[in-house]
Amino acid sequence: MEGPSSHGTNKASQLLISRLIRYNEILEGLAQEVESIKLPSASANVLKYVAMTARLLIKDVSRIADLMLPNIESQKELLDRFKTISSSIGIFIYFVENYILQSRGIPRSFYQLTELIRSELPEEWKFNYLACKGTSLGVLPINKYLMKILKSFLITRKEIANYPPLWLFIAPSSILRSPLEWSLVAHEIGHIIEKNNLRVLSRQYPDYKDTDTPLSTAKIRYEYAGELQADFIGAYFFGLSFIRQAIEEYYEDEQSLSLSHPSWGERVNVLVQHGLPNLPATDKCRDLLENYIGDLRLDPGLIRISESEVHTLISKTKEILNDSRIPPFDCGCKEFNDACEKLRQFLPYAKDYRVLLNGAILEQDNAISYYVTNKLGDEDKRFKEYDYLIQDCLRLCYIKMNQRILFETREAEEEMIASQEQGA
Amino acid sequence: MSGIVEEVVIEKMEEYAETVSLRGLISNILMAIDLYNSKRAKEGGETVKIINEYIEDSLAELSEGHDAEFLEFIIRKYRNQNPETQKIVSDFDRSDYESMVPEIISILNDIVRGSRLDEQALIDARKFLELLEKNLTVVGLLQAGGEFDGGSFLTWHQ
Repeated sequence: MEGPSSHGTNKASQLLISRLIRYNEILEGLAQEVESIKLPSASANVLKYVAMTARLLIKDVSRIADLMLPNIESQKELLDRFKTISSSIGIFIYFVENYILQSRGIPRSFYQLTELIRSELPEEWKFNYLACKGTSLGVLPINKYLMKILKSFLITRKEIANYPPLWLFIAPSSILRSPLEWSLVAHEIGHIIEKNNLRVLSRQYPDYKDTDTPLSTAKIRYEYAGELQADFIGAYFFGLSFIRQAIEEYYEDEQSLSLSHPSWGERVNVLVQHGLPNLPATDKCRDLLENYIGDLRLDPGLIRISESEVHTLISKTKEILNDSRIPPFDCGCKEFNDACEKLRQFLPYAKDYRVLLNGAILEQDNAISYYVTNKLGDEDKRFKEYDYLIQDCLRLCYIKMNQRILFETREAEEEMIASQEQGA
Repeated sequence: MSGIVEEVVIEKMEEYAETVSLRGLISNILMAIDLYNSKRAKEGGETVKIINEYIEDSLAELSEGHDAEFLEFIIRKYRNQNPETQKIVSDFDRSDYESMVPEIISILNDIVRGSRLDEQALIDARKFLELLEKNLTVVGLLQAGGEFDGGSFLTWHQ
């Protein structure tokens, strides 16, 4: 350890402390930038939380700079503390700039789809989320992440600890650009509702601990089961479109084994063997699916989850979804046929978003060929135009949902006023 | 399939956050010890309150006792990445960590109670924590995916 501070040391210490204080200006700027983003309320809650975290960090930084670092007598110790603290702030700034602020570039209709999905969930299941671009599709628990990277900031951690879970959807541009890929988001929502509400996995694997290392069999088993369950939830919400898009987007790209995800072969196999029998219109689903699966090899991943484990997992998940009155997508319903008929003639359909996305995927080739044959527009733009059509239809579904909510609210208000008048 | 283990972005972020969290915990403990040893800090009532706050937080974390497994995993994973990282990241001995944690808890409790500290125990604990902090800093840099330059990193740390 070095001796007490000399004049030079004092100067160096002051320099470090003033560098730390300079972060406060950046943090305030970030908070303001985050607050300026306008998104639906479930995402606005995340933005408020992040802006609040940035402002709490300012308090922490000021306390560290005023009362803590100046009292450290050794320059080496001071430098070490400074490095750890400034590195944590740097990671927070990086996270906000590269993830949170990137939520501005996400298509509005992507948020509208997520809002439509949320509207079907029970009130206590409605989650807060934000979407941003990344290199792979996934969902990050924001509170947990911030609690970890901000370990050195006690004022901040104390305040942000007791908030309901907030989630960050990270998705590659290829998915965010095309509404035909958006059913894949249902898989991520599957992870969220499992962690927030279902808790089937924690009951089925009581020995699993969050702190198990990625290489432990217990962790791999738990993670794999979680992926199979999220796939089932995706198929439950979006039926075939989810399975087809999952295969199209990922199956051929698979070149490695993952510690957290079973092989796509295993996943497709589980969906067919255990998922389909738990969905409506199973035979029709199976017929349609056969075209997608074709000759795909269904190899397992690092480990295989037993048949009985998967059976318990899927049936328990389905039971809770049913009890919570979340209807599975039915590819045998009349509405689906009507939607397909319209979409294959490049016509809008906007009665139900799940029917829309399924029909859009199933009829894509027919719709494109109709567009070309009937010269509906520039041939080079046929795929783009189809994306626009689906996005516009989704927007209409969203508007209708809001109108329904508004109508129901008005009706409830009128009923309340009427009952008050009767009482009076 | 090539058999290479693939990591997706979320897993990388979570693993990195875990490393940053442990580095922060160690830094918090060292901060509390440094402030306790500081004559200037003892003069201010507010700083004493902050020391106790940091100690309480660190004790809660240490008493959970689940860090050894992760530390062993993460340090070995990055230490064994290449010969350069083997030179700069010391191997992690789980039994050393498990025997040192009760010592650290005892030092922190002594600080809160205002008991006299065992000088040698304090020197040993500090040495151990500083090495761990240095290892986690290197691991964090490797996880963050920055260019690894052993030479300049050593200079920065000396």
